[in-house]
Amino acid sequence: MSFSKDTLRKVRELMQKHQSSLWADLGDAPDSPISLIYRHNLINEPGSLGSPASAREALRQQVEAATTLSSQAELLLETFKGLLEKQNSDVLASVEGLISQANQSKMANSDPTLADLFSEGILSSIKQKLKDLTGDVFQDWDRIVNTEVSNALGLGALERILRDIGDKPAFDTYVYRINPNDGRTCPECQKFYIDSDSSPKLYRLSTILAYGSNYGKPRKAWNPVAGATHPNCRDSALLELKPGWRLLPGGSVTYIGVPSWEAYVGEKLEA
Amino acid sequence: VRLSIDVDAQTPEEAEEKLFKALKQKRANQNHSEEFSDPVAEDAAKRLKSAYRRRMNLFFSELSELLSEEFKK
Repeated sequence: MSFSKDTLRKVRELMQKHQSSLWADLGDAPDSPISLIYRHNLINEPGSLGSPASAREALRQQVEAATTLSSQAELLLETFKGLLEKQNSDVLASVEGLISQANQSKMANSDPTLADLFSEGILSSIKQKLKDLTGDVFQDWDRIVNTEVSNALGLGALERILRDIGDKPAFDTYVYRINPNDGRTCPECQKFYIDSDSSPKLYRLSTILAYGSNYGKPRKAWNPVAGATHPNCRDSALLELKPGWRLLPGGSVTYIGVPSWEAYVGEKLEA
Repeated sequence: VRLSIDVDAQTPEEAEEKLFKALKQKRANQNHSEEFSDPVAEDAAKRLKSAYRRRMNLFFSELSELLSEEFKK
């Protein structure tokens, strides 16, 4: 009683079967939830009146608007597909490790009178380890989803802002993000997105574009960006501060008029 | 400013701790005003999480059965 090479083949086939179904459910363009979020932020400014209130409404809006996937959205989907494949290949490696450990334990027991008892123990241990693995796998997947959703909404909003400003230079366009600013906010997001008066920090769009992405960078090299600032990021999408408006603590805005706005922006950028 | 928050606690220490957490949550809710939450993103994220859980629960259940059968061969 032990696992054979044929077991490994069957496990891989099982994973392949479920991976194909997963990709059909989650990733196939153009109906992937990732594409939906990206296009929603491309069409709607977060919090604006008339913005869809559910994924179903957003889908209806997108069908009516007949939006197509931009190259950026296709890239996001490809990244998402890669992360899904990597996640499942990590799961497979863990399962193969369990199988190998079980065979080694079996070989270590040379007493034939205890064989049945020993095998029961191994099987029960495998089942417990599979249960533990399931919990870890779901936790990892939630982190991937949170991060990729943050990327999709941030980059969708960035594409909309770039489209809206047209020929206006990114240097003269001002943007911010709203952070929940609660007990779970990390020091980096606090530093990047919240000013000392609790209002959002303001950036030139050109600065955000120059920083690109934090993907693959160590924590100390992170910068304020349009996509996910870090794994499990909860910041809002990028928002444009229109001329004449001032940011208030918590992220709401108030109109102060264009004449005093330039001085306000100058002070805010230096703060 | 008068603020009324009810907490359910057995000891004054526990009440203080719970009150602090409730105040913090209230402040967080005020700061992150609802107009900036994105129901579409939340909805889609739930779909991504639950579809994966459903499928992988099925995978782990079939895997457990397969390994039991294979080990007994």
